Amino acid sequence: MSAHIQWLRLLILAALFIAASFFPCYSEEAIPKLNYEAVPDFFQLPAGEHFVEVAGVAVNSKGHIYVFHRGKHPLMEFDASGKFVRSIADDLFVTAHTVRVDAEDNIWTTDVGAHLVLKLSPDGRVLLSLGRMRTPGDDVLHFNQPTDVAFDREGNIYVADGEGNSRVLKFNKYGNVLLGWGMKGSGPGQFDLPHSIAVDGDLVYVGDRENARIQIFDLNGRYVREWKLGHPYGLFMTPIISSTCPMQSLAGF
Amino acid sequence: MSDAIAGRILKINRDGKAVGVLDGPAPDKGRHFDPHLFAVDKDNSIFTAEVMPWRAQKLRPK
Repeated sequence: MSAHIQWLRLLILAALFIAASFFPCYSEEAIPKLNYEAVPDFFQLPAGEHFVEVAGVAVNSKGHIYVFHRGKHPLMEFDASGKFVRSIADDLFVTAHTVRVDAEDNIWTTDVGAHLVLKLSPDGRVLLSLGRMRTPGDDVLHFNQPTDVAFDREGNIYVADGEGNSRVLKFNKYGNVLLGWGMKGSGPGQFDLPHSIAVDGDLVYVGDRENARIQIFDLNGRYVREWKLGHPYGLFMTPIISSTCPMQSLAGF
Repeated sequence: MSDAIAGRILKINRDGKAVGVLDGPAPDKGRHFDPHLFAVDKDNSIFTAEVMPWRAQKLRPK
C-alpha cells in the first residue's frame, strides 16, 4: 500500500513538473500607475479652428506649448494657460511629425512630407534647414521622412531618419554633417523605423519602433545597450533635481 | 516613452526599468488614448500629441 502511495506521489510530482515547464509562472512586477487627470478643453483654439492628426508637442522655458498637427495652421503656440497665441510659418509644412525646443528656446520641426528638419527662432524665423524640400534621398543632403531631432550639450544635432531610411545622422550646430549610423535590420545598431530620439548627457536614445526597443548609443554612434519596453513612438527626457547638483539631469520618461 | 500601440506612457529610470505607467484617461467621445509624442513641463504636467483622435491634451498630476 505504501509503495502504491509512493508511486502516486511521484506521478503527481512529475505531472506538476511537466505542467510548470509548459506554463511558467511569470513573476513580472506590476508597474505602478501614474496618478494624472486630463484638464478638460485645455487648448483654447480660435473659433472655427481644430486640430488634425496631432503628431508633435513641445514646451519652452516659459511654459508655452507648441502643438504640431496636420491641419491648416500646422504649428500653433499656446501660453501656459492654454490660450492660443499664434500660428507659425503656416506655408512651410507638408506633413507634421515632431516638434522640439532646444536650450535657447528655438523651435525644431521634422516633416515627413517635406523630408525636412527646420530650426526656427522663438519668433518663428527660419534659422536652419536640413534636407531638401519634398525631395527624399539617402545621402547626407537628403532625408527620407525624418521623424525626430535631438541635441547634445555642444549643440550638435541628431536626426532620426526615419520612416524611409533606417539611420541616425549627426550634424554640428551649423548643419554640417559629422557622421551617421544604422541600416535596416534588427541587430545592434540596426533599425526598423527609428521614430524618436533623445540625448541625455553622453548618450543617444533611439526609439527603434518596429523592433520594439530603445537602443542606446554614445555620441559617436557606438552601440551601448538596449531596453525592450514596448513600441517607442515618443521619447522625452525629464530633468530631475539632484540633492547635490540642482541642475543635473538624472532621469527620463 | 510613449507607446501608441499599447496606448500608454511609461516612466523609465536610467537603469531601463519601467517605474510608472499612464494608461491615459477614459475614452473621450469614443476617442482612445494615442500618445504619438509627448512633453513634460516643469510642474510634471504631461502634454500629449495624439494622431488618430486628432487631439492634444494636458494631463496634470492629481
